[in-house]
Amino acid sequence: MDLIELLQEPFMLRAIYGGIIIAIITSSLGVFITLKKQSYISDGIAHASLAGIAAGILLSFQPILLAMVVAVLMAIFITYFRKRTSIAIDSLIGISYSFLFALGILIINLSPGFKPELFSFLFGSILGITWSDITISVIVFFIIIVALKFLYKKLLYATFDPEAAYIRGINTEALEYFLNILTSVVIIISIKIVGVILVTALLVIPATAAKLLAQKFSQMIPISIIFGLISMLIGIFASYFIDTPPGATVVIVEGILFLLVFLISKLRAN
Amino acid sequence: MSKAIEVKNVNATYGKLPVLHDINFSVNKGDIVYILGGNGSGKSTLIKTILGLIKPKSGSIEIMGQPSTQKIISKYIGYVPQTTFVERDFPITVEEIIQLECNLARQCDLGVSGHLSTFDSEHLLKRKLSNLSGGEFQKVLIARALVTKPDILIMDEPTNNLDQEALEDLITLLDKINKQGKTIIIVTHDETVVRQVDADVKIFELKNSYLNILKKTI
Repeated sequence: MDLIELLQEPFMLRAIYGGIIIAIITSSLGVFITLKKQSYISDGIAHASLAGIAAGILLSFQPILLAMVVAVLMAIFITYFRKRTSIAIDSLIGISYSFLFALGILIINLSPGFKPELFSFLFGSILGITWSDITISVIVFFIIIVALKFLYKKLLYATFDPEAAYIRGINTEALEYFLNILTSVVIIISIKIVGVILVTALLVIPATAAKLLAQKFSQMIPISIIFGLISMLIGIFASYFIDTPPGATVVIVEGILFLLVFLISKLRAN
Repeated sequence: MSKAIEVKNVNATYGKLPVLHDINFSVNKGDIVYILGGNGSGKSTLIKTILGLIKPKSGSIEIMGQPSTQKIISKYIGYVPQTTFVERDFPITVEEIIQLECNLARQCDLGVSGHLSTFDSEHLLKRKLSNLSGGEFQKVLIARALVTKPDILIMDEPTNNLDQEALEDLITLLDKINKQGKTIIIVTHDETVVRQVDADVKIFELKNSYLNILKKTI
């Protein structure tokens, strides 16, 4: 099957539409997560969601919905305790997500037989994406567009200099809850693409590449989105033609492109 | 004389460790006040408590005669944080930093470049934060604080990273700002800085959690 024929296949069109929307969402939100140095939070939320997925598979009831509940609760838990405990936040995240990931494994062990759907949650299955998955992604896409339109300056200030942002009258704690809950929702809808284990890459790699290339903040989100889109499309097509897992291929493409960007930025600095 | 800031019986702890012990002091409108203290003396906690970033265990703070709230702090105070507290590799330009303050404060005294030009630094406007020296960044943070026309300017260790020439520029600048009627509070660990300023500034010394020395001169 050549590229033209492939583009007429419904499963490939759904993968491309879904991939484009997820790439835009994760690349734009990832800018704030990366600059706030919170990639470990998104990694923790992604791993913790396995408990919800496993419970859904065991009960045969909406694994993604239950994963989202676990992820949002984890986001609220982390945000609440971040400034209210003497335990270092990375330790707190490490303890809680390890616990929930282990709980997920125990629950999986309770349900008998081979569970193919579990592999799609762990490693992604973009070619199996459905129109309802795309509809949910579009809704989240519009939430992010609206949030960025109204909160962009406050998010930027709170990310750049949180203490000065508070003094400027910004409710930095409410913004942090909002950002972390939105991150957890985005992680769950992105699991379909690359899976629980690799989802953080979609948030972190494009934004970090953009940080190396941007000459000012206003360039960060556009560069991150372009990087995310290019990686996503190359990854989807490459995985089809060379017959590799799509999620892992997208992340490998992102890694290779990031290496190129890193070398370019080093050359430019010299 | 009416008071810009009044701190009454403030106690603060870090975990269970007392950091501020029954602090009482006031700053009159138009004063320049230095708060001196070594590492661990509690001066950063004191400033963060005044700024509402740390809730005191007990006591109260009034700003321009009103109980301190985030709204009141935002209305009257301009804050210049330690340059080391801000990520220097953040991909943002000087223009974006000051414009952001103008947009959120909904005022922009002298425009985005106006206060930078008062210390001959408008050429920094298009520069990335990562390409600024410590002294240049300090000027940017002061310019950012001034665009909102604050009545009170609070500066945390503003002399860090400054060479002697930049330090003299800063002292001259603070004097100029003060002559416009602004109250200035400077937190520093560096006694040599205080020795170089006019003798009519107030100097509080914070030691072992107590504000136990109050001098007019050093």
